[in-house]
Amino acid sequence: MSQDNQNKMLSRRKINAVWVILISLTLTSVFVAERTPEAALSIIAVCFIIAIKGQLVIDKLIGLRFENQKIRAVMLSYFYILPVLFIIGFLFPEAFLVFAINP
Amino acid sequence: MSNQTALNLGQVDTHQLNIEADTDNVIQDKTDDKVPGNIAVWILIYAELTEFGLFFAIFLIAKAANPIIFAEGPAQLHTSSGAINTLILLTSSFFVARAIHAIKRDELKTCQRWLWLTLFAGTAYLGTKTWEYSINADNGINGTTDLFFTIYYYLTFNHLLHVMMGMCTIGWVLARSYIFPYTKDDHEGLESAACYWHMVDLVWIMIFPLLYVLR
Repeated sequence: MSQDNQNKMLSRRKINAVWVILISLTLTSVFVAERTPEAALSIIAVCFIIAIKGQLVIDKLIGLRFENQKIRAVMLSYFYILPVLFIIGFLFPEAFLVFAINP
Repeated sequence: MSNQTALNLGQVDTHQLNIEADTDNVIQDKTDDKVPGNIAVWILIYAELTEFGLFFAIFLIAKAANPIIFAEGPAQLHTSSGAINTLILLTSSFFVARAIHAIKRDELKTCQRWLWLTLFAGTAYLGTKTWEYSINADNGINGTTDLFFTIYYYLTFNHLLHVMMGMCTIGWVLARSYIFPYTKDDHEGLESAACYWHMVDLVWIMIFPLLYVLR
């Protein structure tokens, strides 16, 4: 098979499996946030789950895993950078205070 | 000769291509320049994601400047309805992915059924959001309650409008599929609408934890 033209298969079963994983991750994130006593740990866990869910939708449901890699890179970077910003915003809020305008 | 042409001529043993035996598979070519849908919808998607990205940044800045309000705010929200809407939107993305999978196998009727389900999920989202807003109103919460709820209503209502726009595009491609049927070789508009719908879901994947879950 040519390196430049590999064929990959998108099956119904894989789409179904991705949906089940996404639902499970959503319920897990709610459970973790509600039950984890350590706030920092729950924030990091929830943000990690956000990144995973975003990647699953981008790669498997939209199907960018095997299509335009430039578009995929931009979409994935959004789901890597923003969860990190969320972590910083919740654990180190003073980092965003410099942008606040005091009336 | 490309692999696809060879397959069509029956000249290539599928085992050579390491293809699964599952008969409902759809072959995707790994090409760097293929854009799902068209480039115009991706420019729109990037613009929308940038818009919401700025909203998220504003949320974090406002939270830093008003820690008490933003610590108390999420506790007053109806987390269950937010979770239900997350499940609804994820399921709707699944529906639209199945619709695209069906049209890539030239199964128009199946595709149309999945699109109807997508519209149904969108309607369920609107109903759940309306229910949530009514609960807020019963509790005396509105957009002027405090800064947290101003941003909450701005974010969620803006997203609601995008859901409605997504439903209009899905509805349009569904109607068009009855008049000028899509095929596996001609479904760019359908794929564009599907990408936009996935974007709406992706944004909610961020909004739900930010407003309802992270404390």
